[in-house]
Amino acid sequence: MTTRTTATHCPFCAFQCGMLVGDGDRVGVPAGIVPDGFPVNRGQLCTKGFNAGVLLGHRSRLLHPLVRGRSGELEEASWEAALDELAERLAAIGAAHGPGAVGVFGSGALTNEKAYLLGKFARVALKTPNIDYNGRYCMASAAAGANRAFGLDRGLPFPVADIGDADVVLLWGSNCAETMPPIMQWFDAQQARGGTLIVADPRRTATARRAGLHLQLRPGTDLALANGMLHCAIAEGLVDRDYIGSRTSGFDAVRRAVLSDDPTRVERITGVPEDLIRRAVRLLAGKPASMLLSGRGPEQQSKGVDSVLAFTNLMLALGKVGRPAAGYGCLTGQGNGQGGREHGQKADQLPGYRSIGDASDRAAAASVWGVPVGELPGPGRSAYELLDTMGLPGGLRGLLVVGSNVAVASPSAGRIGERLDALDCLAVLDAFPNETTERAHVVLPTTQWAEEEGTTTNLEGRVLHRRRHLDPPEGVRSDLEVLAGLAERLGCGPKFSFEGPREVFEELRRASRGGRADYSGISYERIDAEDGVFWPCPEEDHPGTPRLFAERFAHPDGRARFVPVRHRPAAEEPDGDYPVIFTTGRYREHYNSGAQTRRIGPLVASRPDPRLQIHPLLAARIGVADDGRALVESRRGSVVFRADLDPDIRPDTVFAPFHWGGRSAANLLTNPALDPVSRMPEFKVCAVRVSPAEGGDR
Amino acid sequence: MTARPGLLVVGNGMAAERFLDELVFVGGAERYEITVVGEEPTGAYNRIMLARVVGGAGPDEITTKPAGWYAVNGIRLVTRRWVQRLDLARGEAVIGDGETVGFDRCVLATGSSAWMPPVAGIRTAEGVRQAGVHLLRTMEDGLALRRETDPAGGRRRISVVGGGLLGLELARTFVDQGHRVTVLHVGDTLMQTQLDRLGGTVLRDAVAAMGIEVVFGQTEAVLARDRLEALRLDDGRVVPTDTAVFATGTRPRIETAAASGIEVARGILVDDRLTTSAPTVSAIGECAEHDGVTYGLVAPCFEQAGVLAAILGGSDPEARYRGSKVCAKLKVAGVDVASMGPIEAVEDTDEVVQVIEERRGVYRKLIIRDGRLLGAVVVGDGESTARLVQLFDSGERMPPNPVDVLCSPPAFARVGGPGSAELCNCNRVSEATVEEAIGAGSDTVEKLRASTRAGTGCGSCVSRLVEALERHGALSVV
Repeated sequence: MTTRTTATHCPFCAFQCGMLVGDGDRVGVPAGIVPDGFPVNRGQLCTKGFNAGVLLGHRSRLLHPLVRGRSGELEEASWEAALDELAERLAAIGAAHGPGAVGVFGSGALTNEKAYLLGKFARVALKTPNIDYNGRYCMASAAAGANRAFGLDRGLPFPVADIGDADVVLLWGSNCAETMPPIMQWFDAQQARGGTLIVADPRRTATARRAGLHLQLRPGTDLALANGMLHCAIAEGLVDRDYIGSRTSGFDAVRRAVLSDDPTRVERITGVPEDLIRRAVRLLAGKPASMLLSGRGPEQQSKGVDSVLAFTNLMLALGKVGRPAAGYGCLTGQGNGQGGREHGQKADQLPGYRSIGDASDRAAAASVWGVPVGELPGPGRSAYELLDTMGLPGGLRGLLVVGSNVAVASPSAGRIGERLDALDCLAVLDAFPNETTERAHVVLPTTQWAEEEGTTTNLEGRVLHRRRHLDPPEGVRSDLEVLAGLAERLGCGPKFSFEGPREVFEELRRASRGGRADYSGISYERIDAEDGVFWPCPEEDHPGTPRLFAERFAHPDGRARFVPVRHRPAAEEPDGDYPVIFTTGRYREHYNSGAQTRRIGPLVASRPDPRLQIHPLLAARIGVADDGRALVESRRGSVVFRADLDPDIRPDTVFAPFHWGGRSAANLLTNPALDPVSRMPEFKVCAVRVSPAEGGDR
Repeated sequence: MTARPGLLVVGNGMAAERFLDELVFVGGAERYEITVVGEEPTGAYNRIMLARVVGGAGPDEITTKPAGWYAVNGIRLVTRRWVQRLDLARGEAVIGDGETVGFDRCVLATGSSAWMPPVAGIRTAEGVRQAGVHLLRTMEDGLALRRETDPAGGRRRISVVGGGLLGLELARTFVDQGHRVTVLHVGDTLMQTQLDRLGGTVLRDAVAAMGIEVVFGQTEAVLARDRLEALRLDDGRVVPTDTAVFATGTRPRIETAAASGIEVARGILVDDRLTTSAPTVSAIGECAEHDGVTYGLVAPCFEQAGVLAAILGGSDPEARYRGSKVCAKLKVAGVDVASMGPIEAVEDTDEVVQVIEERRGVYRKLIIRDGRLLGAVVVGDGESTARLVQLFDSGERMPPNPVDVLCSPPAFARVGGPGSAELCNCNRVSEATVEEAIGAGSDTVEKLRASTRAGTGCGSCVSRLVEALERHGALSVV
């Protein structure tokens, strides 16, 4: 279509579709995009990817640093002045309140290089333990579950193409037909081969409509359903005793624990008929190649980790994990949700998926960074807990946000908004203004996606090369440059002085060597030559690891672990005052807080506003009309949505997407109850009441 | 370090097991020096699965807490012992043969015992149960029954006295093993606690269809010489029988409480904190009577165990037990039976909806009060039960037309997806756009994909692109 094209990857979800970016064919859009034949998306692309070029050269782009002046307004400033101001403020807060009073909040949208350098910046330049990122809201439960069960967390332990070879796939709480449409070709291939797709979801989603069996469970009961399936598998003799004996430990405790989860009890808890529970587990057990893939539905709960462990228990008992085209995986959400959780922007973690609490891991990082190990801070607070302390005694006074719209993305968003306003200094690095930059004291405009290069790691654990297609607009800097500028002003410039992303990647390779996510054998050249490289890849002549666990698991004894888990109610169940379950999710046109997609004309035209999905029976009882305005109230806030009457949702549940901010933010309603292990907030279940909004139907 | 308060749990059945499990889960077990006294020789097991032992499963298969579990959690398990009386004044109890255990807090989870009707000849002159006559309450009962009915020993004539939940489940187990089974039931309605007469009739037909003979009448006598030979009903009918199992109900075990001076009625009386008339003693499970009700199903026992563990474990001292909604389910020969709440209208204003399909063997009955589901009976329909029990539990309002809740989900599902005029959902390309593009010369799927983006997302609409091309007589080479 154009003379000059660049093969790169989409800026949005973790599927990281390969695409060709060319020079624009439309006025005001400097880039035209077509899918390419990358072996993940194989020539397909969703509407978000097709329209991503609109973001390049967008008129609302941030082009100057902004500093809040005496007037109280954000005013344009030079880079030197803005960086001076910010460094001075951060240093002053650190001096007055201790280094832990400055926090850093990163993002699963950042490249590996940025995520790595941000973690180093927090620990080495700011010397604060308090860094976390929005992946805490996304992947933390799946990560903790997989680490406990397998000793290793890589979203998919196999290439996505293996889905096409599976006999049975149980897709649990993922609406990937809307959230990552190009993945559906693999499920189509699977079904075309005679395979069966089972979907567990409280809604009959676009994904569920393509399944042979739909388990329409009550939100918050995923764990019970999985335990009930395991109960049936044991009772019917479907478990793989040889596999359990040779490859796992701890089965006996799990077997006894699920004795109470008989299908009668589980039906009552989940609303899934006994017969379907049995049918689903018989399907999974009946064929050699069966897999369970989970999404955020079961994970974004206050028992998210245990729900994931219920899945790993089930698939281990059936003897599937590590077998060809079989096992357990999770579908990572954000673009670099995988790589972003491996290289140290998590509160408890150092590069290479190392633990900040482990002495030898600390020594490894300290030696690469050239700092005394004793100067490395320990683990910090998790995302919501970090934000929840802003402006409070002993909490954060300053916060550096990179590539995340925390004001919209956090649960109980109204409270987080108040806390953001209580900071002495809020600084945001982003390409576009959003609900968080509006509250900032310093805003630093950064490059985006096709204006820079770097690596990401997709949902398969395949490290990819995002290439630069065009020059950034004048006035913006890359995140790496901004961190270098701040580090210099904070007195540790040399440790952050890099030629560019490739040089940062070289240090990341060294820092990850010997860690669980070992990138040391991966280079840009190899990624280009091999259509990406799967970690772990410890040597340059190592082929990478597309498939994990075939022979052993990553625990020291090589065995996978069963962990007994038990059902319990959501932190907030419906009651007389708030009788309806509220759950959240995505639209196919929008991404995360919508900070980018809400700026893309065709996407907005297709999905201009958030709608409340409500069953006609519930709507009729309440008196809410189709397209009428519905007031949704929780104990934390209220939102007015237009209603979509839709029989594809359970009559006890309403749904709204979380892509909008301000008064339309679904997260004004959600419950910040946290998982005790992953610190994941309970985005997927809370109690609300719904009524017709004042001002009539239209 | 000061000594931890002593917690004595009397009974090690399902309520006690659940209570301990919850207590450990909320981190409350370390607060106490815990002693559990149980009559049976092993750790706790899932009693509602005893029929599996009768069917040949080993005891370990249904054991929820082996002895090691108690040890790991620092809990002392005393087996084959019982507590006859609590000395409340001294906070002491005598366990079995002479050992005294002190307690600050006691949980009575003494459960219930199988009840046998007065039947002539059920015991020998020596006062022991006649050979061939069984109960099913303990693991020992299950194993004894298994030994006698092991199909390796040949086909037997087995009579199950009592056509309730347990009796029918046993009958099914025996039929599966190839035995000849008769259910003898008082009255004219099987599962009369859970089903109305119509429901019982539908169930009886289903039970008969699987080869179980159902005889209605009062079992009056056990006929035996050396061992059981037959059962006789009060109308004189005689049922030749090799093995008889009495599944004629249970009675709460209140003797320990009564002997300790704790108030009892049918069960041990407890308040919303599950505390008995003695402030240091709680009672949970089938032995407890709350608000005039004793429960014989496991779900209420679990709820009580959860509340008591929250209070004693300190995770929610304000937790209160407000009674349970009762739901019973059974599957006989592929026929689902469910019953929840009252099975008949209680007040004049209660609405009753009945759907009877005699030929299909499906019966559904809803009892509605103030627009909410008060009770239901379902026979022969496994699918709607899941929805009904959730409506029943949540107290959610019923739709204006209550029959709507019986509809299968597809009855409400959208037809044609979101806007059937939209051909490619991923990129929201309408049929009209595709038609237009074909008219403008996009005569292959590839050209259509390029010009409209249809079919480039998930690819599921490519077949519809082909159809559109064919409709237009355009070349459809993919």
